[in-house]
Amino acid sequence: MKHIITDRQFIVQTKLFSEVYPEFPDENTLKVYLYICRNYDWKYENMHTAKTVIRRELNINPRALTRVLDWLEDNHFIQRSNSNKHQMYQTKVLIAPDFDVRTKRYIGYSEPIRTSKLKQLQGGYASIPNDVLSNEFLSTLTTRNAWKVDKIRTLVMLYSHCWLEYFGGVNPDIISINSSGKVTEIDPSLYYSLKMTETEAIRNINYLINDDLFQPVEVYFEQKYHQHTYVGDYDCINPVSNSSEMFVLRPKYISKFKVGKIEELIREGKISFDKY
Amino acid sequence: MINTNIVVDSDSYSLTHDSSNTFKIDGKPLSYTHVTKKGTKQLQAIEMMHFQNKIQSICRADLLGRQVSIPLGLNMIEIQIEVVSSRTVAELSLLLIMKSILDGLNQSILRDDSVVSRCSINYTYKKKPVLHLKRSPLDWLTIKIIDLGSSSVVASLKKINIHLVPKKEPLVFDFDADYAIFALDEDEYLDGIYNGLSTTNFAVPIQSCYEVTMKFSGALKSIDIDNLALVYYRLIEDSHYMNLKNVTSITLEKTYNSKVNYTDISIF
Repeated sequence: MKHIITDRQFIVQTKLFSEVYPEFPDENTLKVYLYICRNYDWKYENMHTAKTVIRRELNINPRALTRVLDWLEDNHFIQRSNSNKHQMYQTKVLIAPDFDVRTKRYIGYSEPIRTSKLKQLQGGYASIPNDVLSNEFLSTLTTRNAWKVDKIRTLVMLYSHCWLEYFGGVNPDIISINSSGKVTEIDPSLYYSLKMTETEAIRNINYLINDDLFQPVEVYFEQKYHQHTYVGDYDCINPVSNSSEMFVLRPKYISKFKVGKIEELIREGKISFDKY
Repeated sequence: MINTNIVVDSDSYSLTHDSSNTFKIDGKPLSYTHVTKKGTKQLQAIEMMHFQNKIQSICRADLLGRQVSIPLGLNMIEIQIEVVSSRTVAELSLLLIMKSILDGLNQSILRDDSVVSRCSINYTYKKKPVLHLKRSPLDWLTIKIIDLGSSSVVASLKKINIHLVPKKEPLVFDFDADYAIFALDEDEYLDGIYNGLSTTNFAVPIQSCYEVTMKFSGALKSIDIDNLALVYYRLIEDSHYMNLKNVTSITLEKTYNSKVNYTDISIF
């Protein structure tokens, strides 16, 4: 598999996927929400797309779309920003609300999403390359293949644990892969966040591997004091002393903004990537 | 009461103990500091960040749901944490879970960690339910936040089924070049205390589990209670010190008094 560096990415807040946070009411809500995040213009803090276009691209009927947008707005995930009704649909993405477990209500921030604010709130987010969740892919999200929702949730969480310069991929302490490249173990913090059993999470990761979105890659790790970190790809570098071979899971698409050091890793010949 | 003096790096500290359960060290309590060179690139454990984000989120929702404005911190704060778990206490590391929770509350919920002047964590084992759904965590968390100015409970979360993640050290990029920890003579200081205790026959009676209380006094207004505990807790759990296993309860307390400096530790 060739790995591809892309320069278009969008942000999904990882708080949405947690054992203390409810799931969206249905697939349509998740798909519209991700569509809005994906098409959000960060510079103008706005998404600006006609409802007919959204409907067509997501293969969703008008009544369902209106219902979903109302729900997202009522629960403080988005805030419509049209100055009048006759304009094209416009909305802001807000910092995702907190959920009051006592009263079962969402408590909103009414602040547009900004990475600086998310960092300050310790709000984890994953940067997902746009090419990973295409409109076509989102449009096929239906009730009949509901497992796709689980696959998307898994994908977002894998991206949040993926730090090339430290692990060469997804942290192997979170996803362990054996010497024949099979996923063997998952950290409980991850599968509980996904509300899955370990077996279900492994199954979803295998779906992502079959879809060519992630691939086990052989790399060298080095032990320095108490740290165990990535040195380079097996195919690219010679082993250094106290390094050991292992497998990590690496996404096919990776955003160049997410990993500042990637250019350096390529220049030093530690990792091989195809430019996009 | 037994009295002795210990000398660490030409500083002398008076050490008092009852030979079995409590000891007191005079002098300003030491606090754990983690010094990295400015601008060092590091990565916090993501699973811990996710956990802290969840804690922050559920506490914020609870406080705002009760019309309490945040961040708290005009008065001193007490935090009570109850952990019920089907995991063993050894798997959990209570002090580091407490630290992880306090870090989660820092800034957005509490103006600053240092406003916490009392914090406790208690553990109770619960047998794994026979019909345990493997999708749900094995830990249940109860948190109470108390405003010590008005003695009122401002937030209360009961038995939240959440997977607890302890505080972890960050990974440092390019470890050799950029990283430096200045250990603050902490090891020498703890060695001094431990030697002082053992040469004067201090020994905690062997029990199946222990409850630890640590009281700190000094000019500690801006110092985080968990960072004070991180230093002294090593005396209790580390294998080359007392090596006590199964600590099921930890209570920390700090008093702001620049004229009276001591650390008082009791183990029952």
